[in-house]
Amino acid sequence: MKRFWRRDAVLFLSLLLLSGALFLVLFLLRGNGEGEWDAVISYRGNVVARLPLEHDTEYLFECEEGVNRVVIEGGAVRVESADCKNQICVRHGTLSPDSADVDFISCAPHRLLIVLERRDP
Amino acid sequence: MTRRSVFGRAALSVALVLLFCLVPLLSSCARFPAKRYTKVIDGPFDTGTQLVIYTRNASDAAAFFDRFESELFAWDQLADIYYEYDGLNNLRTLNRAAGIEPVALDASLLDLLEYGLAMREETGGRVDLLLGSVLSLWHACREAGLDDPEHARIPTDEELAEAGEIARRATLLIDRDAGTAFLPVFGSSVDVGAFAKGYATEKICFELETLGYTDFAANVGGNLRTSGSASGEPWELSVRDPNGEGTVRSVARDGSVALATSGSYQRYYTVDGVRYHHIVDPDTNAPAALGWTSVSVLTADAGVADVLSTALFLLGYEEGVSLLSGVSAPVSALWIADDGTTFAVGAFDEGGGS
Repeated sequence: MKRFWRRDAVLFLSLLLLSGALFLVLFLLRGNGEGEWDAVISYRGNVVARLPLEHDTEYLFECEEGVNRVVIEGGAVRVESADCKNQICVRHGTLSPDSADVDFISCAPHRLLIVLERRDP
Repeated sequence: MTRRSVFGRAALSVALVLLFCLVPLLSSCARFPAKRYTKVIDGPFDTGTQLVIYTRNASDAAAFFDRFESELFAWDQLADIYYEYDGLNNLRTLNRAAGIEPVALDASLLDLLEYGLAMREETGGRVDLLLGSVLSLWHACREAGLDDPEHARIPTDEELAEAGEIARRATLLIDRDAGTAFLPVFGSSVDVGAFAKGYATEKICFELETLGYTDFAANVGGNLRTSGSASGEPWELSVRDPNGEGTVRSVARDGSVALATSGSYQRYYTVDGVRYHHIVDPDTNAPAALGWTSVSVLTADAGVADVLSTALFLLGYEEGVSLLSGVSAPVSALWIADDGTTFAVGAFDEGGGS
C-alpha cells in the first residue's frame, strides 16, 4: 500500500512538472507573439521607416514638401520640429502605446503619418 | 480491495493526465490571441486615417482595409467642395450651380445633405451646412495666411457682412424623386466640414459591421470609431491634452463607440499676433469665442459625435448641457476651457479616469 502511494506521488509530481513546463513554453511563445512597438512613418500612404520605440533616436524625415524632425524618447514618439505651414504635427505632442489605442501624428502638408505598430516576432 | 484500488488508480491517472494536459492546451487558444493589423490611409478629407483590426486571418484584415479605403475615398470625393472629379457630381458641383440650376447627386450624398439639414435644426443652427459663403472667406484667408504669414489678413467686415447675409438667406432644396439638390440663392454654398468626416466614418463602420467585421477601430482625422473589442480588452478612447503631452481623460469601452473632438488649438492661423481658429460662430461670422480650447463628445454614432462636438464648441456650458438633454442617445462630453478648467458629463465625469 505504501509503495502504491509513492508511485501515485511520482506520477502526480511528474504530471505537475510536465504541465508546468507546457504552461511555461506556451507563455513564452505568447510573450514573443505580442512583440514590442515600432513607430511606423509613412509618406503618401507608403511606409518609409520603422523605428523601434525602445531605442531613443532621432529621424529626419525629408520629402519634396519639406522636413520633419522625428524624435523617439522614453518609449514615445513625437515630431520635434517641422517646416510645414500649420505645425499641427508638432502640436500633437507624443504618441506612446499607453496613451491611446488608435492615435497617430499627421502632417497633412508633408503627407506624413506616424502610427504605432506591434513588431512581428 | 486490491482490484478496486488498481482500477481506481488507473482512473485517477487518466483524469490527472487529461487535467494537466488539457488545461494548458485549452488555455493556449487564448494565449495565441488575434493579431493586431494596422493600416494608414493618406489623403481623404485632407487628413490621415488609421485603421486597426484584430483578427487571426490576415486576408480578413486586408479585405477590411481595402473596403474601408475605397469607401472613404468615395465619400471624400462626394463631399469635396474644393475639387471636382471626372464623371462625378459632388458638393463643388452643387455650390457652383447655386442660383442657376438643380444638380443630380448620388443618393448617399443626398442622405448626407438631409442629415446636415436635420442637424441644423437639432443644434439650433449652431452646426449650419449653409454657412459655406462665410466659411470659404475664412478658409481662403487662413490658407493664404499660412502660406505667407507676413501678409496674413482676416476677411473684412464688409466681406463677412455680405457673405453672412447670403448664408442667412440660403436654403437647400432636395428633390428625392428627381435625385437632385439645389441652392436657389446665388453665391450661397454648402460646407459639410463640421460633420462629413464623422458621418462617413459612421456609414463605413456600420456597413463593415453588417458585413460581419468586428474588433476594429478607425481614426479618421481625429474622428474615432470602435467596434467589438481590442482582442478581448476594451478599447481605450482618449482625449488628448490640448496644451501639452499625453491624455487628459481616457475611457475604456467595448462595442460601437465614437469619440470626436472640436478644438481651437490645432487648426488656426495668426494675424498681428492674434490667433484665428477654424470653427466659425454663425452669430458673429467669426471664430467662436466662448473660451473653449476643445470639446470632446463620446457617443455610439460617429456622425452625432462630430456634430455635437462642434455644436458644444459654439455654446456655453449651460446651453451645451441643455442641448445634450434633448439628445436621445447616451452622450458623454468633456469641455476644456482656455484657462485649463474642465467640465464633464457622463463617462468623462466618472472619477476622471486617467
